[in-house]
Amino acid sequence: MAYIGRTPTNAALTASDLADGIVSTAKIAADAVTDAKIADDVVGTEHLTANEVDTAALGADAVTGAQLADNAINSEHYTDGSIDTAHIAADQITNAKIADDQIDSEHYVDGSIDTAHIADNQITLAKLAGGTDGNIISYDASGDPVAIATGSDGQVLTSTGAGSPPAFEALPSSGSHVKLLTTTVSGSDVSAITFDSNYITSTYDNYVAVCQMIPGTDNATPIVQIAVSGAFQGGANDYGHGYYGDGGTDGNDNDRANIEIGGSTGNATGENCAMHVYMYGLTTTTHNAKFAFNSNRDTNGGVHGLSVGGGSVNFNNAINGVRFLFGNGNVKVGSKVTLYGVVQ
Amino acid sequence: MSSNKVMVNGVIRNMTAEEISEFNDRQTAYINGALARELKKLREIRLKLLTETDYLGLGDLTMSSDMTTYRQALRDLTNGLDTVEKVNTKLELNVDENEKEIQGSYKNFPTKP
Repeated sequence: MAYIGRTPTNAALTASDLADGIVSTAKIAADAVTDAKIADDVVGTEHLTANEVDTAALGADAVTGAQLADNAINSEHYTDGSIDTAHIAADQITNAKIADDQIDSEHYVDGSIDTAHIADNQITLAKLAGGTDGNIISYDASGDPVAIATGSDGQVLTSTGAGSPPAFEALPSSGSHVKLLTTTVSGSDVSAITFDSNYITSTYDNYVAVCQMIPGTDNATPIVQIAVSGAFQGGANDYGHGYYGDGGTDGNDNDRANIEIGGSTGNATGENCAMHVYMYGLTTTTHNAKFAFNSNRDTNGGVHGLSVGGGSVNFNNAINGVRFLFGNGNVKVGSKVTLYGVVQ
Repeated sequence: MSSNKVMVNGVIRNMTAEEISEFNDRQTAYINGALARELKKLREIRLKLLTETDYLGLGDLTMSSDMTTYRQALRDLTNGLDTVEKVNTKLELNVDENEKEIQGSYKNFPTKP
């Protein structure tokens, strides 16, 4: 029996029978070196063939941060959608990392967009919430925006003093006659031209109406009626009136449902009646209200007619409305009444 | 016929049911009152004409028979006037050379002597 180097001292060959460093690679069978034959922590990277360490040779969760080269992990190594909020440091998402036109309003905290984040001249009218037709935006005593309620036709915006938003109001009293409103019937005939408590107020005791009216029915007579607490009065004894007309006609009647302010008027093309009507003491309760009129008209016979006169309301309630109409039929398109308050 | 519209403070709006009812009542009352209204107008004119000659009835004056007849005719002017059309016939005006009506000059009134 041949031996390596020398005759074994014992019956069996032991490590001591082998000289140090003499077991060559050829003396080790393929796949013969087991895990137990390799000392702990001695396999250096030179014993690993390049690119031979496969996934199975790595323990789960065994690759630590230190084992990864700096700046070496590319986005292909991340599972789609796998980077959660905890893996992004605070304040790390820069503007350049956000695609254009991708941030929707749901990502803003309610009320979080402050003035500094809106560029100058960027709030267009279309971005303002809708409001009420005719309102004007001002500021209240707290400095907050406030809508000024739409006024009535003919009113103007006036200051209400410091610490208070302005308001639409009737023209301030100045001069002897203050124009309150001009109304012109258009589009459709109407039953009456009315001024309600928005215009007949305690601001004035006396009023003047300058009227040019066309009857919807031929030969109708213009009349005036007043309202108390918003209800127009047409009782058989509510008014009295008297008049003188052309041709020596006259009349007087203390028990009427209205006051005539002219004579029977034609309604052929061009025909109309025009009058100014003075109204005294409408809003006071000291005296019964009085009316005086001067009227010219086209009769239904196509000639001029004149009527002057006046009337009285047969009670002294405060009046808060007045209407101009015809004794029968409508007030035709094109009719016009301008109301003035008279300053005393 | 109502347009069912009313202008309030310069704004035209539809009338309320209450306003339409009030308007219609007023039209009905106007139509129903036509005869009384025209008769009243006729009486006012007649009264004015009678008043013009009342002074002739004073004690120190003698009223002519023509004047007496004229005044009686005025008083009888409303006899038998039971329709608006009949009253309006009495209220027809004379016309001038241009066929224009002459206010205060009534074609079918008795002629003052």
